[in-house]
Amino acid sequence: MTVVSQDEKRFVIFNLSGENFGIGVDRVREVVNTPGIALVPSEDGLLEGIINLRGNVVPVMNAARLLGMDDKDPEDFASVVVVETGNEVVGFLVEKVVAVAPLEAEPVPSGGTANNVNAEAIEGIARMDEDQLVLLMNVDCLLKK
Amino acid sequence: MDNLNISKEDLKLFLEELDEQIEVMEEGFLTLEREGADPEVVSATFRAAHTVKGSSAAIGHQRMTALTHAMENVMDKIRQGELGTSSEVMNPLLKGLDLLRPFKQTLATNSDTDVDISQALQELRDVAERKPQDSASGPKSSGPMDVSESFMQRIHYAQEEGLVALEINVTLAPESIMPSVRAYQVYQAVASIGEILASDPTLNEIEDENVGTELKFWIITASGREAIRSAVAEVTDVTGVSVSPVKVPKDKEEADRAKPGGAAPSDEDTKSGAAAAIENRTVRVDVTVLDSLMNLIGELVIDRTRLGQLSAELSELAGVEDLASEVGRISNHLARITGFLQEEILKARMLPIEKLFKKFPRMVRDLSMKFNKPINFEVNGKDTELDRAVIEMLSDPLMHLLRNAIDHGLESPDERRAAGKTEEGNLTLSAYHSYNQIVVEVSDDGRGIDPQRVIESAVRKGVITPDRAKEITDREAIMLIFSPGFSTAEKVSEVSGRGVGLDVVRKNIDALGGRVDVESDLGRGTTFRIFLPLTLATVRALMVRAGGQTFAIPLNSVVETLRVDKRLIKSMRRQQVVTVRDMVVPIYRLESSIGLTRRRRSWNDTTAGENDHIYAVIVNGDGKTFGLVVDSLVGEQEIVIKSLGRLIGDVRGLAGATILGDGSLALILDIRGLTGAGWSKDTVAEVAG
Amino acid sequence: MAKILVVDDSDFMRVRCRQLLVGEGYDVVEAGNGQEAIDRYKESSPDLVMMDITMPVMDGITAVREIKKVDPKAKIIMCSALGQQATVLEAVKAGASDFVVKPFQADRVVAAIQKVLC
Repeated sequence: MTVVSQDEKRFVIFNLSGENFGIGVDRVREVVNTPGIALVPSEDGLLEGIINLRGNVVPVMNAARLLGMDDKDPEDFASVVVVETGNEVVGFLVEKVVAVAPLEAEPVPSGGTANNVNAEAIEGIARMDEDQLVLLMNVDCLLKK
Repeated sequence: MDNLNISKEDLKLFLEELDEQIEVMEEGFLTLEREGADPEVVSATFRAAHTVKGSSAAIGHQRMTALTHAMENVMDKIRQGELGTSSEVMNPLLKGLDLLRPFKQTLATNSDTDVDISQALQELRDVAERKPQDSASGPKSSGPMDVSESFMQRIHYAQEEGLVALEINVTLAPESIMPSVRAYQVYQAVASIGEILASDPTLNEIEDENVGTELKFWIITASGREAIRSAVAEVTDVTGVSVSPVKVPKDKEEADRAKPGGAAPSDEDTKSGAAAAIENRTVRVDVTVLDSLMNLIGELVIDRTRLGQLSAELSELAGVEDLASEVGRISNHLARITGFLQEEILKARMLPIEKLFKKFPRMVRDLSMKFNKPINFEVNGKDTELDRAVIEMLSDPLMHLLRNAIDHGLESPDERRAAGKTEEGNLTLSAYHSYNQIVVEVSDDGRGIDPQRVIESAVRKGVITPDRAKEITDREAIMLIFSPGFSTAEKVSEVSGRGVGLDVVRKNIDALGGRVDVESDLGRGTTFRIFLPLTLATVRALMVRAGGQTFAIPLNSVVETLRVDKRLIKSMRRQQVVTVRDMVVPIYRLESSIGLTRRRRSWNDTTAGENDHIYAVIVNGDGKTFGLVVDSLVGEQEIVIKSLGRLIGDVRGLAGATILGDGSLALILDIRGLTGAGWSKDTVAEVAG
Repeated sequence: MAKILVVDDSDFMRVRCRQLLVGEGYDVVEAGNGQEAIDRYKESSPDLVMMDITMPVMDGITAVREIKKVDPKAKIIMCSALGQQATVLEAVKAGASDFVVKPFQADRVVAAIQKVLC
């Protein structure tokens, strides 16, 4: 578990089941709102479907399931955060994108994080607007599975 | 320094043009020196010198003007045939060119120069005043020729008149419907350009309809090669034109040297340098470049489809008739152009099937000895071109079919004699075009397939039920040999025919988007035909809506589409079925058949209303016929297959995805994959209702 | 807009041909046999003639020869059935520019017309 940097860095902050998550803007290619997802069958339910990103077929993962959170029907989830990892481009289906803001990353407290989130995929935490907690995602770690 | 009259912007343009013209001249001079006075090259270089002279005079560059003027004079003499193109003539021209470069440099850097052009000018003037007989004319090199003396004499005279002798090779498409008419049109086109010295086939042979796919002409002409090439290429069905100079020995001595065994220059010598640059019309292209071009055109096809839809929508609106018809016209035109473009790129991916066919004669020979069956093996159409990927994937299926024909199709010599046939069995492998398809055929004159025995065997192996066996037609029976269960491990020589791995053949061909068919005449022989699409990158598909999204079902899997009254859906052992022409066909909801059970209503459109009927697409995969229940039928469309990507990998029942005209995605079904491993009633528990 | 004279004794073929050509933006004049074709040609001097071969009253080949007498620069495309190679060859010798084979494939017809017209 490493802390990326003590310096301020910009994050895309989004909402999943009442929890705030952040991905560094350097990893985010773009955010697509209300995309037309073509559902693709997936045995473990991690894969949601595919979207057309300017002529390229991009897979969309169910971020909540990937993070090991409560399985909630993603019916109302309306945004896809498209990230680059290695040579792949992948989308994460999220509830909604809240903000793009600079955050100061801190190490994850030893007690872990709330809500049964898969701890391995979180590489740090940050505070937003004094009282809100943002879990910073390690994209590569998340997709290794 | 010359006082120049030019703005900064204009100077940039001037220098760019100068650069181009210097290149044209350099390449041209070298070609002329090597190959003689090709009129096309002569006029191109003359024009280049002329252009530079004009523009340097316009900016007031006196030394450049003087130099290019002298060069132009020499070129003009060559053009008039008064000068040859030997090194003595070309040297001063090249030297002049070498002086243009420093001028360009100083102009670009706005510096002064003390380039002295007086010596070069003098040499150019000297050359221009030489008598024609002083200068060597005609090409320097010559290769062996297969034409007669008098023929060469005429070429020689023609060259002295400043004409060129050319050899034209024309290829006609093998599928050309009336080749002799095409050949005659080519003959006319060539005759309009120059004097035909000889042709193969001759005019008489053309008129007697004795024409193959290769035509050859020897002509004398004043026209350039490019002009000839394009005139001939105009004729429909001409797939290739090459024009090359006929090399003629200049004098007795050189003629002797040019004879085979003499010290003739090698082909490499005559084709090096600038000459090769002009003459060699082929380039090497990485296959990935072709693939990416193909993808880009795929995008264009999508836009074209969208535009077509738009134009149809427009024509429904009142008051915009003119606009609608204009859009319609543009859309038609675009469709045609993209069609041509697609064809051209496809052609670039094509290889003659010869590469594959080459290896079979040896295999047939070995099998012939092994089975002790003498075989007359004939191979036709090895020039037929196929997508390189198809060629690779055809190898195994063809091997299977040939092996089968020898093992089971052809009889032993004794048997053949008894049947009144030649002892030697005939086996033919052919490839040809037919409409938009390529057909590869394996044909034997053996014993044929006995439908009755196929049925018996199929019943025994549980491929079909005894009931079904009673109603099956001969043709359907013969097609059973492709069924997976028909012949796997067990060898089926007792069935007068085939079997070993024929299901595999069908599987491979299906994967290529093709189709395999068999025609058999009992006692006379069997012909297997493989029909292949010209390309793998696009496929025609039936577009349907199911579960709120669009799916594409490749047409080669679709048997028919039905609108079924719900009351006619029956239940057999908890499986819903419909009856199609006396055949009981199980039906499944399309989306559940691929394991898509989740619904996301907010994104779904609910086209499946409270109707009293359902739509079913009857498909066939690996011999299994079943119905896929869909919400609605959208129509037929050409689609571009895109892979789902490495991250997703293979998904059972899906062949990929395609982007639709409105930018949304449709999943492409793989019907064969659907019926493969993992196919069970459980995965399709949610059936039509 | 180029004008095309369609010569065919079959009403159906003429209608099909007209639909195709009008759709491509050409003006169409029709004639039902070779004799009519010559009359129409003189009246309306079309840019191109699409000529059937087998027709009553006057066949296509004769009509090609006659039209060429009227206008040596006439551009004529023969509409042939499969297996009429010798006849088509004769027509080309008589001055026809090209041929298309029935049943028509729209692309090919259009390509042939564009080639001949330019």
